[in-house]
Amino acid sequence: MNPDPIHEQLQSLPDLPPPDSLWPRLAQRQRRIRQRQQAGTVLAAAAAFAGVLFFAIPHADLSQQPVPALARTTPATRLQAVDHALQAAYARGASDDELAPLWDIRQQLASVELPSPAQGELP
Amino acid sequence: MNTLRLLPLALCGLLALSPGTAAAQSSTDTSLGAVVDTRFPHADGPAVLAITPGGTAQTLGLRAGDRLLSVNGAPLRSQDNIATRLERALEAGGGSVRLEVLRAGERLELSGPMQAAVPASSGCGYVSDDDPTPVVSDGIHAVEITSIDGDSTPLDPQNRYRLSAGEHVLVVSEQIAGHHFSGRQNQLREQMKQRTLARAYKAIVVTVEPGVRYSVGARLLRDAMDNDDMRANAYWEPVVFKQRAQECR
Repeated sequence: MNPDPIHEQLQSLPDLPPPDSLWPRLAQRQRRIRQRQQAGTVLAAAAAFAGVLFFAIPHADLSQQPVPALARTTPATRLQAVDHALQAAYARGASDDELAPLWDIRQQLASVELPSPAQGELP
Repeated sequence: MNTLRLLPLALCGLLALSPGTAAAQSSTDTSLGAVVDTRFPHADGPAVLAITPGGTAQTLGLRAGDRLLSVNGAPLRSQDNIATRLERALEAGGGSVRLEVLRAGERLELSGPMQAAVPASSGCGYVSDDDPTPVVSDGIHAVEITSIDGDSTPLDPQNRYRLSAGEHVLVVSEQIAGHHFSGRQNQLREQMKQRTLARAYKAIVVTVEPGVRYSVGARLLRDAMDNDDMRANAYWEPVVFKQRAQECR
């Protein structure tokens, strides 16, 4: 491969010294780059700090807002609710399989909260 | 996590769901204060299956195992549409009730006043099986609500169910992803579900406060996942894992 004559000619040219005004301009440019980098770092740190604060500080929890209590809620009313559900299920002709979970929870409630034999279901 | 509130069924256990839009309120049978098998006609009348504490039936002396021959003069033996007949008969009593029952082969008559109805709570709230579950942090998984207060929920997925304030009974099926189980556990789980069908569902009683939304899920019980537990459907329990304020009208 023959060397490119134009390339050779360019290689043979002498190195000219840069103008004196170049160095201040380069220094100014580098300062701007450093300032931008520093500003970016500060912004990133601020964003990270804000993120930490977001998750660290307890937020207003809607579930903590007071709600009116149901004064009539008692163990007996829970059992009444289950019997209510059972009767509705029987009324619509539910299968034994569908009824089983309701009887299960009724048995749990009756045994834990209502030890009296008066509420007994069929043996 | 302060919004997370796990309410295990075994302890406070009773989170029942009440129907608002999807489930209907129960019939007037409840005012009798007994659970009666009204599904099929029977020559001896419908069977009384359970007595509700503090209800009219208990006051009258009705017992589980009795059969209802008539209510306020309306016969129930060998009748179709027993639930409707019973409801109308109770309404016709005008505040009192007269039961003709069959107990151990003997006829008895029980009568007295009906218990006053408890005034319904004002306001409404929501229950949902569609809220994101904290699977990783708390081991809570998805469920499907299959019935509310004894009535089936719509087949179409619902974002939430509007319920009157008060106690409601939800029946749910667990929808835990299969990758949380080993191959053997998955096999036993599927066999159990095929064998038990809707018996694999579980009920929870939820006390709905006005203006509150309750998120329902299934807690996977990591300590109850051996072969016997999987066969017995003991590896999960329904829970309310979150409640938050939500305006309800």
